[in-house]
Amino acid sequence: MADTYVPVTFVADELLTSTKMNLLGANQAGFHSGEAMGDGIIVTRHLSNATKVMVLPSVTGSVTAPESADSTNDFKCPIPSDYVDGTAITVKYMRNASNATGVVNQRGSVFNLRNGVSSSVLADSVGLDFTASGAFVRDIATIYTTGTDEFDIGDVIFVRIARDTADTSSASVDYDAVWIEYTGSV
Amino acid sequence: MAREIKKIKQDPNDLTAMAEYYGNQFSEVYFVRDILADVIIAVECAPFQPGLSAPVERANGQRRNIFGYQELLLTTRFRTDTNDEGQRMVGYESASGNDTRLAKVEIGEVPITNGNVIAAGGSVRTLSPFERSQLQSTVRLKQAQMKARADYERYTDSAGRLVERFETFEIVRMK
Repeated sequence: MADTYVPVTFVADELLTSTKMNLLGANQAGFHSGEAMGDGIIVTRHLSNATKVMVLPSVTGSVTAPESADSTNDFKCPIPSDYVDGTAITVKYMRNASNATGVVNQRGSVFNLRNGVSSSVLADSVGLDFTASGAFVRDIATIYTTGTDEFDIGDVIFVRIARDTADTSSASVDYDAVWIEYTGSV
Repeated sequence: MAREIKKIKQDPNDLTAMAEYYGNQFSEVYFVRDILADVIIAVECAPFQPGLSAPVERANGQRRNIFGYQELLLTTRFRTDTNDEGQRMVGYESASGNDTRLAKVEIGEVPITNGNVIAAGGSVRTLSPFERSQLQSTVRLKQAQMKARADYERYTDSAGRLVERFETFEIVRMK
C-alpha cells in the first residue's frame, strides 16, 4: 500500500486555508502512525538495541576438548543480520563442571571466514586459566569490530577451542555451549 | 510532485443555492472554477465584509471575501506578474493538484519552499511591504525582458456571465 504522505508546498504571500492546514495535520498523524512514512526509510539507527545471544549451531550437547592444539573442535556461525555495525561481539563458552586437577589451560581462536576463506586470526586468547572452583563461563575474545579486520553482517565467525600446551589437567574438559554475544536491533 | 487531478462530481442545485445565498449577502459574487478538474473550488464576494474570512486582494485594489467549497481550495495568491491590461494575475491551488500560484517569471524571485522549485521541504516567509514592492519591480522588469505574456483572457460566456480566465482557473461573475 502506498504511503499517505502528501507533499505540501508554500509560496510567499499565499492565503492559507484550513483545508491546506488539514493536509499538514494528516501528514503529521501519518508520521505518528507510520502510514505516511516512505518504504525502506527505516534504518538500523532508528531501532533500539539490545544485547543478544546466538548459540553457535555446531554445538550439540557436551563437546570434549581434544588434548592437543591440533583441535578440530570448531564452531561456525554467520554474523546475524541485525548486528549493529561497530559494536562489540564477544565469543563465550561454558565448560562442564570438572573434577580435573592441575591447570586447565585453554586456547581459543576466532577467525573471519570472509567469502569462505580463512583469512586472518582475529584473536588468540591464551591461558584462559580456570579451576573447578572458578566461574564456568569464560570469554574467548572480544573480536574486532572496527578497522580493516572488522566483522560485518554476513561474515562467518569461526571459533576453535583447544587445550594449550601448558595444560596440566588430569582429565579432559567438556563444553556445554559456545555462543556469541552481540548488540542487535530490536 | 504534482498530485493526480481528480474528477469530482458536484451538485448543480447546491451550486445554485450557494450563488443565491451569497447573492443575498453581497453585491458581487464570483465562482472560482478549476478548469482541469471542472469543479467550483471557491466563492469570492465583494465588497469585503470583515469577520467572515481573510481578505483577498484583486485587480483595481478591490478586496473580497473568499470562501472555499467542498474542501477544494488550498490557497490563493495575488501574483506579481501582470496581464496585458496591466492587472496583476491571480493564482490558486486546488486540491485536485491544479496549481497556478507562481508565475514562470516569478520563479527565482519569490520565496517558496525548497528554493526555486515548488516541492516539499525548505522554508518560506512572508514578505514585508518593502520587499513586496521590490519584488513587483523586479518581476515587472523580468516580464518585459522575457516578453512573457500572462495567460489571461476575459470574455462573456453563453449565459451572459463575465468570465476572467487566469491560466487554468476561471472566475465567473454570478452576480
